[in-house]
Amino acid sequence: MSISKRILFLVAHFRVSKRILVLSAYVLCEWFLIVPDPLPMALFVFVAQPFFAFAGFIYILEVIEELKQRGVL
Amino acid sequence: MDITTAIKIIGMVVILIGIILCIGVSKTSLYSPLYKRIAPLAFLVVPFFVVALGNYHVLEGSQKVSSCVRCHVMAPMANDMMDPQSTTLAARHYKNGWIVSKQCFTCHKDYGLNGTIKAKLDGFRHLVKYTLRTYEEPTRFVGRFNNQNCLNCHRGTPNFEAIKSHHTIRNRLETSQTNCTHCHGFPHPTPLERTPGTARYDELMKGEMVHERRRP
Repeated sequence: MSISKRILFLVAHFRVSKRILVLSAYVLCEWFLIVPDPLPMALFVFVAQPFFAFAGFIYILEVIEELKQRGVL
Repeated sequence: MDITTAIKIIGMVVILIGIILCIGVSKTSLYSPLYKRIAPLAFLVVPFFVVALGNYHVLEGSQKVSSCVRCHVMAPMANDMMDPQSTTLAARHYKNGWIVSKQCFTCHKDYGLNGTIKAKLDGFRHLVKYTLRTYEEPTRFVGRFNNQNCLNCHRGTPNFEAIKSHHTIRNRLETSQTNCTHCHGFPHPTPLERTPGTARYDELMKGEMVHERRRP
């Protein structure tokens, strides 16, 4: 099993939803832009950005896997 | 409208677009053509712009005094700066109008977009400590006072060049081996004055900027 498949398997196993990750990151970012207090800033820096990065990473892995299945890659 | 406010509004609109796209993605089937069109926007393109705009807001949008004073520990510094009776360096700069706006940032430039990596890491460290409340008052300056923050404005001015000692120790000043504060006094209230429980601390916490901090 390839590494990307293993990661996607783990993601599915732990029911990590990239939609929920991205939505919560968007909400945290909006909060920070409206109220630039230390707590929203910390949540933006240390929570929202990793959420975006992780969701993007999962999405890219899914695309790679689909392309592999189609024989493009 | 300044550029920071404009970028803030753009950021808020982009986030709303992202949220709408994300809701759209969750309502479409994983194998539908619509999903393939909007998913890259919702998961990659819009987040990229949101993170860029958010980081711009972190680094450049937090330069106003009212932004600095949102942290409780900064209130004594800002209140002292705005006290006409105070003789600290910050207060003298403020009451004489030597720095017209962004008074904190002008002397603490390292935090900005063009500042050093070390200053950014220090900023993150302060953010973590403040959020988790793992700090003790009075806060203490860690590191070496950077004379460049003073020399950026004072270097080459007639008043600065007229002082003989500035030439005698020029190299030491440029390399921050001798601090400006050694001769010109404290930039802010001393740690003793900022210690909770002291009379001076209570005075410093009662200033105008405490109310500014509470404004939405």
